[in-house]
Amino acid sequence: MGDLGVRALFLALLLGAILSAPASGQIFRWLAFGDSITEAWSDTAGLGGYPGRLENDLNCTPSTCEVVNKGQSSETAAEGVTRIDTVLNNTGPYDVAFIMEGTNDIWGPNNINNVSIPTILFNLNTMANKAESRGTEAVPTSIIWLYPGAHPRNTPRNPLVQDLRDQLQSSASTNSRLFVDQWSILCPGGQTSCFNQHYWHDSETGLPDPVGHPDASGFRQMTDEFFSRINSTPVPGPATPTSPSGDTGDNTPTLSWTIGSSVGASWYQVRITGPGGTPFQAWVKASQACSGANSGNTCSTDVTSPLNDDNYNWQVMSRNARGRSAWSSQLSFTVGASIIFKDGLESGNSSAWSETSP
Amino acid sequence: MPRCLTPISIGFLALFLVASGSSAAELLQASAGENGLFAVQFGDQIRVGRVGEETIPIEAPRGADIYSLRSTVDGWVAGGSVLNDTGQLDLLLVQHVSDRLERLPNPDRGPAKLRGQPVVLVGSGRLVGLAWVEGDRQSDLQVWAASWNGNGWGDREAVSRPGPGSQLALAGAVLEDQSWLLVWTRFDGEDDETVSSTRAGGVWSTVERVHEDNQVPDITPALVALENGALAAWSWFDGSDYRLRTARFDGQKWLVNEPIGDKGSLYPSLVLTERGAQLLFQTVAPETWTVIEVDGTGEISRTASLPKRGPSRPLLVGPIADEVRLVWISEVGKIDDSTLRSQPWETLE
Repeated sequence: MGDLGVRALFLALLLGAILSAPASGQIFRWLAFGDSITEAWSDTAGLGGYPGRLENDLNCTPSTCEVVNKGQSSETAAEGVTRIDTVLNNTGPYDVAFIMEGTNDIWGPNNINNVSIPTILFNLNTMANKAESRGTEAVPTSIIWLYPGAHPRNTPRNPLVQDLRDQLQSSASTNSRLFVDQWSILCPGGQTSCFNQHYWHDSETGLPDPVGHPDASGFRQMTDEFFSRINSTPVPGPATPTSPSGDTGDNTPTLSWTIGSSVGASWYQVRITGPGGTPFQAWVKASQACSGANSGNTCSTDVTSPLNDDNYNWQVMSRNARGRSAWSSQLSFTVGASIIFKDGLESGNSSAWSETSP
Repeated sequence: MPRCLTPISIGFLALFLVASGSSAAELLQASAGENGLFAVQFGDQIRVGRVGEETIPIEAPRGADIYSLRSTVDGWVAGGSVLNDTGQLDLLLVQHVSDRLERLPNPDRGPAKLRGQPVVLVGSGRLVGLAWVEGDRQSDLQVWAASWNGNGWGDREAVSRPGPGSQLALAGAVLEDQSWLLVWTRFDGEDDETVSSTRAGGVWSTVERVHEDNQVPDITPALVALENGALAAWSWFDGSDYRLRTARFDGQKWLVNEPIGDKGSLYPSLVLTERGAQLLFQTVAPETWTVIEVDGTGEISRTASLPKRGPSRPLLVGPIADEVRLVWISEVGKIDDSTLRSQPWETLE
């Protein structure tokens, strides 16, 4: 792809981020994106797989939060690369996206896969990048074991499942992403009794499906792991804006804040408000904006769209996979010379003024 | 000597069919038109047949697959793989000659545990060779081949050496000059690339990329022999989505065309027709099966897209002069006429 293509893609993603980024005042929303295991056809009717249980465990009400199930049966990671755009654009914004795909790439129609583990990993990371470009925290999730006794193909392929899990975990660490490891929860080591207990079996034949989908008990285990991971860090408190403050000659200033009580935040949203509304707001990853995770450490991000000469306030909000803080206190700053009148008088425009004799 | 196979009953294997939304019929189509040749796999049941005729079940242990299929002057030949009791994966070669189903012997194997993705190579209507991937793990497979003299296999021929990762998705064809052409994906240490090698005079050429070097996946190539060469099609990540790339092989070098297809253009197949070939692939946005007509020289002229119907791959059926016709296969291996969909061709700009 040429420079033009790269720039066009970047602008498109930036536009997407502005249009679909989650915002304060909206309920907190988790997206469950994946294949049939997310879709949860093998669950007891009405329980909704891990998304349904997680929403229940999180005590969500319509006014507080929701977990949206966007699993699609038979989907491969390569297909998910495109579908996730549709989901994020049409049903977003989301605060968090669990991404769990790869089973249909490894359990393909042939005994040797057509797609390599590096390509599956590339596709999973592409989905995560697309979520993050919209201000959504991406949470990669390892796939579960193939049921060894359900099909001759499964035992030889389980090393691939482990390989993908290992590489996904490493990639999540490199990219400062929360990682949910369902592989190590649901039947680690391939214990037969575990598969018998937690994987779906046809009620008439007693046989499992060839791939291995969780049953209600398995979905309970998976949900507990999701719940545990997102609750591993409390909802962060607000951060503390530090600059700009007062006059600045820079119309694209750098916004800086200290972590303060926002320890554990993985993302921050910054917002500038002024006479014309909200000329700038953006989500930034803490790993990219902050120098450390302790309360005394600082974070910063650049304003990318130039501000007019005027007076502004700005705030920051912190977020992790569990929830968002309130907005911080406001910090005021002025772009250009000190401005008292906002009608252009100080730059020589007196058209809004009339002369009155005493 | 080839062994005769006895067709097995559908009912026995139906026990293993999946009664859920998690599985789809896997279709492999060699040719389109009135006598189009295809194989269908649903669960563990594999059947091969021609449009308008009864499909024939292939006897194989549970877990077998069919990977390639080609017409011959007096029937067809198919290649697949099967897991043995010790967890080793080996080849499954079957031919149908004069209404008899026969198991072909396998070429000699090396010490590696896995051998699969066999591509049957048919020239002038006769089986002339076989190529496959072999290794101890999926990440260290390399490509091998052997010639067939009508009664047995020649020596194993190394087509590619071990690389820094997987070598997968093998496809192949015999060209008009009787040389063999193989394409596959090879991990280069950074990403998967589509590569090729030719065999002329019993000598394999150096493995080379079909396209320019890049840092994004190029995956799942398909290949068909045409007049004076061949056409390859594969999926390529364009920075946001997968699109389809095609390249014409003129006997010496590859000429890569501009990308085609909507977002999420994936899993291409090239199906022989009387006019050349049809390129069939799926798109994710919008959700379609898209067909592109390729003439005998590799030129792309017309296209048609039809809405997807579940996850299963459709069968291309004729006539093809004015429109594209797709149909899906039922769970018992028969063409389900109620699923027939058609769409007039549109001329590509």
